[in-house]
Amino acid sequence: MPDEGLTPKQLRSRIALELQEFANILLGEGICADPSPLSFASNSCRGLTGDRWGYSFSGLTLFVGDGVKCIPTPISDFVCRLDVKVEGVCGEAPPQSDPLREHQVEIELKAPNKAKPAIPFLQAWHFDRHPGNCSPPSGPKPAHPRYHFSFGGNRIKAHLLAIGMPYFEGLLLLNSPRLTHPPLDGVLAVDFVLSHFAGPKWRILSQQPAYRRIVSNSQELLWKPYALALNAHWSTDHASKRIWPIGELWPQVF
Amino acid sequence: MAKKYRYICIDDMPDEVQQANARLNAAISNLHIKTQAPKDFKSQVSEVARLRKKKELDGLILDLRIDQFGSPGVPPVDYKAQRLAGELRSRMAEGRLSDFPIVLWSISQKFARSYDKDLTSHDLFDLVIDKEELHGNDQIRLGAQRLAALAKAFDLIAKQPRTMSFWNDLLRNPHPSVLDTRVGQTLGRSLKRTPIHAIARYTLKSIVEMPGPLIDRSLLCARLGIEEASLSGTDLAAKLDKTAAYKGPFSDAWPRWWWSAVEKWWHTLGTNLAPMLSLTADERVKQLKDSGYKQVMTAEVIAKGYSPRFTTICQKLRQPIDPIDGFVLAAADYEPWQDRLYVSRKVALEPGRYRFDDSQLDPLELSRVREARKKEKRPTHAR
Repeated sequence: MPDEGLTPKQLRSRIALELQEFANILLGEGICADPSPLSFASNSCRGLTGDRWGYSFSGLTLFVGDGVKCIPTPISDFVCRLDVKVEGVCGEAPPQSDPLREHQVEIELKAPNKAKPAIPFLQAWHFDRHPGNCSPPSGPKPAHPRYHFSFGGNRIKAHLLAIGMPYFEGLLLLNSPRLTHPPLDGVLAVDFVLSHFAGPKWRILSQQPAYRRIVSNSQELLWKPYALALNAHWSTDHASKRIWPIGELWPQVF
Repeated sequence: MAKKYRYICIDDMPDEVQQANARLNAAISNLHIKTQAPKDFKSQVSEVARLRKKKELDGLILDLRIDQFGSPGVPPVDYKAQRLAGELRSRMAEGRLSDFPIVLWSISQKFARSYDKDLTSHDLFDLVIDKEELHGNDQIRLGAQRLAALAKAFDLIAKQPRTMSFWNDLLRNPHPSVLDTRVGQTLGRSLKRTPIHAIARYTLKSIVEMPGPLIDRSLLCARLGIEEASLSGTDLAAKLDKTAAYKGPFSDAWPRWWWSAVEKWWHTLGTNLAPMLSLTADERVKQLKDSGYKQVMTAEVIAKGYSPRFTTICQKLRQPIDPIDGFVLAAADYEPWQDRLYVSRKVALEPGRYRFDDSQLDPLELSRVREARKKEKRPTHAR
């Protein structure tokens, strides 16, 4: 574990402090006007007991769109709503173990449609941790990595329902591919959104030592085990390979 | 038997307010207001102090202008409510007088002319009751309940030991571990030395009236995804009252629910349920109905195209919204553990229609609102 030496309480306390600090950074940079979901998450993480760490927040809105090419072209900025649920364990597990028990991230990007206000422009990304087996015989046949992104998901289905349309004219929506990606906590989910949908702001933030430190700590907590598990696959340490099998992380790798 | 809270109402037109006070007295069983004309300053202060010492006074109601009319044959007094309240507050701070609530009793026009809108910043009055709003049985009853709840809050705060768990104990928090440890920090002095009236005001203004750990009925319904009118008298209302109702100071007149308790209860409705606020209103209501709460109805969005993943309400329209469709309102000093207040896009884009003033917006949101208004005026996108 990257936080060897930290008790579960100390780890929760560190995560809680970083979430609050992160909220202040986003507010200070004008990326969001309401950091209260992060503050709430910070407090709920601090209040957990046992060997768990985690939190959930819903409705964190981020102002993005700067530097993104878009169709229709007149749209230059939109609002991102982020919902995150994450829960991990602080136990004494091998360093290449799956760090999480529960995980879900919903990214929704929305811009108003002046011509048809009842049909706003929406894009959505769903990211989650597949809870069951990741491969046949009991798992799904299409590639289904433990941690994966998919375009659309239920948010797009709900959008179709809300605008009263059975499908998008001329656009094919599929539940595949499920793209393998390392897990995201609240901090990494925000960083993901900013890095892809608010490039100029993200570049500025990436220069800030506090932002880098907080993101880096989350990466160490969640991405290092993932990277170590990938690395183990190509190592000669056969015991390590079995801890988090490559078929779960990245089903296309043989 | 519930304690009867005794107020003295000092007004330079006692005969005129006597009737209103009689209606307040009759509205609930645990309030008694005695109306009287002001006395000269020294006598008035002495009388109040004496009654308080004899435990015959639980609160004071002062008319804003008590210096305009005298009793027959007696000239008007030469002081205003602020001076009397100031003197009493000083005595309370010095420990010469035990804390009790001081309420400003005014009419809005007079109030606007004579006094700053933000009364509480003056550190004198704990509550403002607008005489003009006291019409109709519901308003009278609410006014009476608030007066009684205010006096009761002073009693509760006075009795609560100033220990490490003060806020959790005072607020009767059913889940002490989830109360943000920063609650109370901005009072800015040691808890043991903080006067009762400062704690009472903080509890009312920052904890009870602002959403955060506690939410009001409109916000509760928005987050449940239900029409507010469909909650009354249902099994769901009874369940929420049992599991999540706030029972601390002011709860008799300011009904609130612990959001953390509502969330905990939500997760008892099924295994691996998604967080309530990540779902659409329809999805939330479906879960409620599947759990046996069949009478509730799904709340509608403000207009087509608005997201039904409600987490808050539009403060102007009092209807549920997803923050993605709103703008954050300014507040004097948001505490990190408080929720932000929102106004919907609809109101922000039509400020004239909804009498919305941009000064109410959070400064961070001003440029976004102005940009959104500009875009509304541009030619539409081709689709």
